[in-house]
Amino acid sequence: MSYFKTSKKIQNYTHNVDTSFTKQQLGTSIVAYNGTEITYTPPAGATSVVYECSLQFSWSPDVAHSYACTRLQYSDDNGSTWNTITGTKVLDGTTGSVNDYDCFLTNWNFLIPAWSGERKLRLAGRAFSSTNRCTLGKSFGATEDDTTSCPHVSVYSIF
Amino acid sequence: MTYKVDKLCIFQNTSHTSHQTINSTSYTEVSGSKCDLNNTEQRNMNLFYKFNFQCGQNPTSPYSDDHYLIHMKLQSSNDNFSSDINDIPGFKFNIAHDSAYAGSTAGHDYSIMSYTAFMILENFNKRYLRLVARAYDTTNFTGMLHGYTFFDGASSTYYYDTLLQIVEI
Repeated sequence: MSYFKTSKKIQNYTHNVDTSFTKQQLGTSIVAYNGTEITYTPPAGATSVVYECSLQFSWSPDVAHSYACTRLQYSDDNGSTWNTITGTKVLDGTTGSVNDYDCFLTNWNFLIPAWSGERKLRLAGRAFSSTNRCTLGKSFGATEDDTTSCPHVSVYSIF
Repeated sequence: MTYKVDKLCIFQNTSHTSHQTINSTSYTEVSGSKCDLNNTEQRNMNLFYKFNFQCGQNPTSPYSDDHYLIHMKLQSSNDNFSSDINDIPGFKFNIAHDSAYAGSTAGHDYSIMSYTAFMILENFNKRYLRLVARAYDTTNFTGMLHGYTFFDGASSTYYYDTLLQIVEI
Protein backbone atom coordinates (compact mmCIF):
# COMPACT_ATOMS: atom_id res chain seq x y z
CA MET A 1 0.00 0.00 0.00
CA SER A 2 1.33 3.42 -0.89
CA TYR A 3 -0.09 6.86 -0.35
CA PHE A 4 -0.07 10.02 -2.35
CA LYS A 5 -1.24 12.98 -0.32
CA THR A 6 -1.53 16.56 -1.42
CA SER A 7 -3.03 19.46 0.46
CA LYS A 8 -3.21 22.30 -1.96
CA LYS A 9 -5.78 23.73 -4.28
CA ILE A 10 -8.12 22.88 -7.12
CA GLN A 11 -7.95 24.58 -10.52
CA ASN A 12 -9.14 24.21 -14.13
CA TYR A 13 -12.37 22.44 -13.34
CA THR A 14 -14.12 21.10 -16.42
CA HIS A 15 -17.00 18.71 -16.99
CA ASN A 16 -18.86 16.62 -19.54
CA VAL A 17 -22.61 16.09 -19.29
CA ASP A 18 -23.69 14.85 -22.69
CA THR A 19 -27.48 15.02 -22.73
CA SER A 20 -27.50 13.61 -26.27
CA PHE A 21 -25.99 10.48 -24.79
CA THR A 22 -27.16 7.11 -26.17
CA LYS A 23 -27.51 4.15 -23.84
CA GLN A 24 -25.04 1.37 -24.47
CA GLN A 25 -25.31 -2.36 -23.91
CA LEU A 26 -21.98 -3.87 -22.92
CA GLY A 27 -20.77 -7.14 -24.45
CA THR A 28 -17.52 -9.01 -24.03
CA SER A 29 -15.34 -6.63 -26.05
CA ILE A 30 -13.85 -3.59 -24.36
CA VAL A 31 -15.49 -0.42 -25.65
CA ALA A 32 -15.41 3.26 -24.74
CA TYR A 33 -18.29 4.33 -22.52
CA ASN A 34 -20.45 6.90 -24.26
CA GLY A 35 -20.33 10.33 -22.71
CA THR A 36 -17.20 9.80 -20.62
CA GLU A 37 -14.44 11.15 -22.88
CA ILE A 38 -12.87 14.45 -22.06
CA THR A 39 -9.85 16.28 -23.46
CA TYR A 40 -7.85 17.96 -20.77
CA THR A 41 -4.62 19.90 -20.36
CA PRO A 42 -3.43 20.33 -16.76
CA PRO A 43 -2.14 23.80 -15.96
CA ALA A 44 1.56 24.25 -15.34
CA GLY A 45 2.50 23.25 -11.81
CA ALA A 46 -0.36 20.84 -11.23
CA THR A 47 0.69 17.69 -9.41
CA SER A 48 -2.40 15.55 -9.99
CA VAL A 49 -5.60 15.34 -11.94
CA VAL A 50 -8.89 14.04 -10.56
CA TYR A 51 -11.37 12.31 -12.88
CA GLU A 52 -14.79 11.72 -11.34
CA CYS A 53 -17.74 10.04 -12.98
CA SER A 54 -21.22 9.11 -11.87
CA LEU A 55 -23.28 6.85 -14.13
CA GLN A 56 -26.01 4.24 -14.05
CA PHE A 57 -26.02 0.60 -15.07
CA SER A 58 -29.19 -1.42 -15.47
CA TRP A 59 -29.84 -5.15 -15.51
CA SER A 60 -30.65 -5.26 -19.22
CA PRO A 61 -30.47 -7.77 -20.86
CA ASP A 62 -29.25 -10.31 -18.26
CA VAL A 63 -31.90 -9.83 -15.61
CA ALA A 64 -30.22 -11.73 -12.79
CA HIS A 65 -26.48 -11.39 -13.39
CA SER A 66 -25.05 -8.08 -14.56
CA TYR A 67 -21.43 -7.04 -14.11
CA ALA A 68 -19.46 -4.23 -15.72
CA CYS A 69 -15.65 -4.34 -15.85
CA THR A 70 -14.60 -0.68 -16.03
CA ARG A 71 -11.25 1.10 -16.27
CA LEU A 72 -9.94 4.62 -16.84
CA GLN A 73 -7.91 5.08 -20.01
CA TYR A 74 -5.88 7.87 -21.59
CA SER A 75 -4.67 8.70 -25.06
CA ASP A 76 -1.76 10.97 -25.95
CA ASP A 77 -2.32 10.64 -29.72
CA ASN A 78 -5.81 12.09 -30.07
CA GLY A 79 -7.56 8.77 -29.52
CA SER A 80 -5.59 6.51 -31.84
CA THR A 81 -4.31 4.36 -29.01
CA TRP A 82 -5.56 4.04 -25.44
CA ASN A 83 -3.75 2.98 -22.26
CA THR A 84 -5.36 1.68 -19.07
CA ILE A 85 -4.25 3.50 -15.92
CA THR A 86 -3.04 1.25 -13.08
CA GLY A 87 -5.32 1.07 -10.07
CA THR A 88 -8.45 2.10 -11.94
CA LYS A 89 -9.91 -1.29 -12.84
CA VAL A 90 -13.21 -1.78 -11.09
CA LEU A 91 -15.93 -4.43 -11.21
CA ASP A 92 -19.52 -3.47 -10.36
CA GLY A 93 -22.59 -5.65 -10.43
CA THR A 94 -24.80 -8.24 -8.80
CA THR A 95 -25.76 -11.88 -9.16
CA GLY A 96 -29.14 -13.11 -7.99
CA SER A 97 -30.62 -16.57 -7.80
CA VAL A 98 -33.81 -15.07 -9.18
CA ASN A 99 -34.44 -12.40 -11.78
CA ASP A 100 -33.93 -9.32 -9.65
CA TYR A 101 -33.67 -6.55 -12.27
CA ASP A 102 -31.00 -4.56 -10.46
CA CYS A 103 -30.09 -1.01 -11.43
CA PHE A 104 -27.23 0.71 -9.70
CA LEU A 105 -25.61 4.10 -9.69
CA THR A 106 -21.84 4.07 -9.56
CA ASN A 107 -19.49 6.88 -8.65
CA TRP A 108 -15.78 6.59 -9.25
CA ASN A 109 -13.10 9.07 -8.16
CA PHE A 110 -9.66 8.61 -9.68
CA LEU A 111 -6.55 10.62 -8.87
CA ILE A 112 -3.75 10.34 -11.41
CA PRO A 113 -0.40 12.12 -11.87
CA ALA A 114 -0.54 15.30 -13.92
CA TRP A 115 1.00 15.39 -17.40
CA SER A 116 2.24 17.96 -19.87
CA GLY A 117 0.13 18.90 -22.87
CA GLU A 118 -3.23 17.68 -24.07
CA ARG A 119 -4.53 14.24 -23.20
CA LYS A 120 -7.83 12.45 -23.69
CA LEU A 121 -9.39 10.54 -20.80
CA ARG A 122 -12.30 8.13 -20.98
CA LEU A 123 -13.89 5.18 -19.27
CA ALA A 124 -13.94 1.89 -21.13
CA GLY A 125 -15.15 -1.54 -20.24
CA ARG A 126 -17.05 -4.70 -21.01
CA ALA A 127 -19.49 -7.10 -19.43
CA PHE A 128 -17.85 -9.74 -17.29
CA SER A 129 -19.12 -12.47 -19.63
CA SER A 130 -21.72 -13.09 -22.30
CA THR A 131 -24.22 -13.99 -19.59
CA ASN A 132 -23.36 -11.06 -17.33
CA ARG A 133 -24.29 -8.19 -19.63
CA CYS A 134 -25.64 -4.83 -18.56
CA THR A 135 -26.58 -1.53 -20.13
CA LEU A 136 -24.88 1.75 -19.42
CA GLY A 137 -27.28 4.65 -19.02
CA LYS A 138 -30.54 2.74 -19.39
CA SER A 139 -33.10 4.08 -17.00
CA PHE A 140 -36.77 3.45 -16.34
CA GLY A 141 -39.30 6.08 -15.37
CA ALA A 142 -42.58 5.61 -13.58
CA THR A 143 -44.54 6.09 -16.79
CA GLU A 144 -41.83 5.81 -19.37
CA ASP A 145 -39.43 3.03 -20.28
CA ASP A 146 -36.05 3.40 -21.86
CA THR A 147 -35.20 6.88 -20.77
CA THR A 148 -31.50 7.51 -20.69
CA SER A 149 -29.28 8.54 -17.82
CA CYS A 150 -26.10 10.15 -19.08
CA PRO A 151 -22.75 9.95 -17.31
CA HIS A 152 -21.67 13.02 -15.34
CA VAL A 153 -17.94 13.59 -15.61
CA SER A 154 -15.80 16.19 -13.91
CA VAL A 155 -12.07 16.69 -14.21
CA TYR A 156 -9.87 19.12 -12.30
CA SER A 157 -6.27 19.68 -11.32
CA ILE A 158 -4.65 19.63 -7.90
CA PHE A 159 -1.68 21.78 -6.98
CA MET B 1 -12.20 41.40 10.71
CA THR B 2 -9.93 38.59 9.56
CA TYR B 3 -10.27 36.04 6.80
CA LYS B 4 -8.99 32.50 6.70
CA VAL B 5 -7.84 32.05 3.12
CA ASP B 6 -5.65 28.96 3.49
CA LYS B 7 -8.38 26.38 3.82
CA LEU B 8 -7.77 22.69 4.25
CA CYS B 9 -7.87 20.68 1.02
CA ILE B 10 -6.52 17.13 1.12
CA PHE B 11 -6.53 14.51 -1.62
CA GLN B 12 -5.14 11.17 -0.48
CA ASN B 13 -4.83 8.43 -3.06
CA THR B 14 -3.93 4.95 -1.81
CA SER B 15 -2.61 2.26 -4.12
CA HIS B 16 -3.54 -1.02 -2.50
CA THR B 17 -1.45 -4.16 -2.98
CA SER B 18 -3.77 -6.42 -1.03
CA HIS B 19 -7.45 -6.77 -0.40
CA GLN B 20 -8.88 -6.06 3.03
CA THR B 21 -11.25 -8.70 4.30
CA ILE B 22 -13.92 -7.56 6.72
CA ASN B 23 -14.73 -10.81 8.50
CA SER B 24 -14.77 -9.85 12.15
CA THR B 25 -17.36 -8.33 14.44
CA SER B 26 -14.71 -6.00 15.83
CA TYR B 27 -14.23 -2.70 14.08
CA THR B 28 -11.05 -2.30 12.07
CA GLU B 29 -9.65 0.70 10.25
CA VAL B 30 -10.46 0.88 6.55
CA SER B 31 -7.16 1.12 4.69
CA GLY B 32 -6.73 4.47 3.01
CA SER B 33 -9.48 6.19 4.99
CA LYS B 34 -7.33 7.71 7.72
CA CYS B 35 -5.98 11.20 7.39
CA ASP B 36 -3.95 13.56 9.52
CA LEU B 37 -5.52 17.01 9.13
CA ASN B 38 -2.52 18.46 10.96
CA ASN B 39 -4.97 20.59 12.92
CA THR B 40 -2.57 21.09 15.81
CA GLU B 41 -4.18 24.36 16.85
CA GLN B 42 -7.57 22.61 17.13
CA ARG B 43 -9.22 25.15 14.87
CA ASN B 44 -12.97 24.72 14.29
CA MET B 45 -13.63 23.81 10.67
CA ASN B 46 -16.54 22.85 8.47
CA LEU B 47 -15.37 19.95 6.29
CA PHE B 48 -16.56 17.42 3.85
CA TYR B 49 -15.11 13.92 4.05
CA LYS B 50 -15.48 11.94 0.83
CA PHE B 51 -14.10 8.42 0.44
CA ASN B 52 -14.38 6.34 -2.72
CA PHE B 53 -13.85 2.60 -2.30
CA GLN B 54 -15.05 -0.79 -3.45
CA CYS B 55 -16.65 -3.69 -1.57
CA GLY B 56 -17.51 -7.19 -2.71
CA GLN B 57 -18.62 -10.45 -1.23
CA ASN B 58 -15.82 -12.27 0.53
CA PRO B 59 -14.39 -14.87 -1.91
CA THR B 60 -12.46 -16.56 0.89
CA SER B 61 -15.51 -17.11 3.04
CA PRO B 62 -16.15 -20.74 3.96
CA TYR B 63 -19.84 -20.04 3.48
CA SER B 64 -20.82 -20.41 -0.13
CA ASP B 65 -23.79 -18.10 0.14
CA ASP B 66 -22.01 -15.28 1.87
CA HIS B 67 -23.35 -11.74 1.39
CA TYR B 68 -21.76 -8.69 2.81
CA LEU B 69 -23.49 -6.63 5.46
CA ILE B 70 -20.88 -4.20 6.67
CA HIS B 71 -21.23 -1.61 9.41
CA MET B 72 -19.11 1.48 8.91
CA LYS B 73 -18.59 4.60 10.98
CA LEU B 74 -16.43 7.69 11.02
CA GLN B 75 -14.12 8.25 13.95
CA SER B 76 -11.98 11.16 15.13
CA SER B 77 -8.87 11.41 17.28
CA ASN B 78 -6.21 13.77 18.50
CA ASP B 79 -3.56 11.09 19.11
CA ASN B 80 -3.66 9.00 15.93
CA PHE B 81 -6.27 6.68 17.48
CA SER B 82 -3.92 5.55 20.21
CA SER B 83 -6.20 6.24 23.17
CA ASP B 84 -8.36 9.13 21.98
CA ILE B 85 -10.92 7.36 19.79
CA ASN B 86 -14.31 8.92 19.23
CA ASP B 87 -17.28 7.83 17.17
CA ILE B 88 -18.78 10.88 15.50
CA PRO B 89 -22.52 10.98 16.25
CA GLY B 90 -24.67 10.50 13.15
CA PHE B 91 -21.90 9.14 10.96
CA LYS B 92 -22.73 5.43 10.89
CA PHE B 93 -23.94 3.60 7.80
CA ASN B 94 -24.31 0.11 6.33
CA ILE B 95 -23.52 -1.37 2.95
CA ALA B 96 -25.30 -4.59 2.04
CA HIS B 97 -27.09 -6.49 -0.70
CA ASP B 98 -30.02 -8.86 -0.20
CA SER B 99 -28.64 -9.90 3.15
CA ALA B 100 -32.03 -11.21 4.29
CA TYR B 101 -31.27 -14.48 2.51
CA ALA B 102 -27.63 -14.81 3.54
CA GLY B 103 -26.74 -18.42 4.13
CA SER B 104 -29.47 -19.64 1.86
CA THR B 105 -29.69 -20.17 -1.87
CA ALA B 106 -33.11 -18.50 -1.97
CA GLY B 107 -33.19 -15.03 -3.37
CA HIS B 108 -29.58 -14.23 -2.65
CA ASP B 109 -27.59 -11.54 -4.36
CA TYR B 110 -23.85 -11.56 -4.70
CA SER B 111 -22.56 -8.10 -5.35
CA ILE B 112 -19.43 -6.10 -5.98
CA MET B 113 -19.95 -2.37 -5.83
CA SER B 114 -18.19 0.97 -5.74
CA TYR B 115 -19.21 3.32 -2.97
CA THR B 116 -18.59 6.95 -2.15
CA ALA B 117 -19.14 7.88 1.48
CA PHE B 118 -19.80 11.61 1.68
CA MET B 119 -20.17 13.31 5.04
CA ILE B 120 -20.12 16.90 6.26
CA LEU B 121 -18.66 17.80 9.64
CA GLU B 122 -19.55 21.08 11.28
CA ASN B 123 -17.24 22.84 13.75
CA PHE B 124 -14.81 19.95 13.68
CA ASN B 125 -11.61 20.56 15.62
CA LYS B 126 -9.86 17.20 15.89
CA ARG B 127 -6.65 16.19 14.13
CA TYR B 128 -7.39 12.74 12.66
CA LEU B 129 -10.31 11.12 10.84
CA ARG B 130 -10.84 7.56 9.70
CA LEU B 131 -13.50 5.04 8.75
CA VAL B 132 -13.80 1.76 10.60
CA ALA B 133 -15.75 -1.30 9.50
CA ARG B 134 -17.00 -4.63 10.83
CA ALA B 135 -19.21 -7.44 9.57
CA TYR B 136 -22.71 -7.94 10.93
CA ASP B 137 -21.62 -11.44 11.89
CA THR B 138 -18.84 -13.82 10.92
CA THR B 139 -20.95 -16.47 9.25
CA ASN B 140 -22.70 -15.09 6.22
CA PHE B 141 -22.15 -11.36 6.17
CA THR B 142 -18.45 -10.76 5.53
CA GLY B 143 -16.97 -8.71 2.73
CA MET B 144 -13.78 -7.67 1.00
CA LEU B 145 -12.55 -4.17 0.17
CA HIS B 146 -10.26 -2.61 -2.45
CA GLY B 147 -10.74 -4.83 -5.50
CA TYR B 148 -11.68 -8.34 -6.39
CA THR B 149 -10.53 -11.65 -7.81
CA PHE B 150 -12.39 -11.63 -11.14
CA PHE B 151 -12.20 -9.23 -14.08
CA ASP B 152 -12.80 -9.24 -17.83
CA GLY B 153 -14.38 -12.67 -17.89
CA ALA B 154 -11.73 -14.55 -15.96
CA SER B 155 -10.19 -15.13 -12.57
CA SER B 156 -7.99 -12.06 -12.34
CA THR B 157 -7.03 -10.22 -9.18
CA TYR B 158 -7.07 -6.44 -9.28
CA TYR B 159 -6.71 -3.72 -6.67
CA TYR B 160 -8.78 -0.56 -6.72
CA ASP B 161 -7.13 2.67 -5.59
CA THR B 162 -9.10 4.48 -2.91
CA LEU B 163 -9.37 8.25 -2.97
CA LEU B 164 -10.02 10.27 0.17
CA GLN B 165 -10.96 13.92 -0.20
CA ILE B 166 -11.19 16.21 2.81
CA VAL B 167 -12.03 19.78 1.95
CA GLU B 168 -12.78 22.71 4.22
CA ILE B 169 -15.97 24.45 3.19
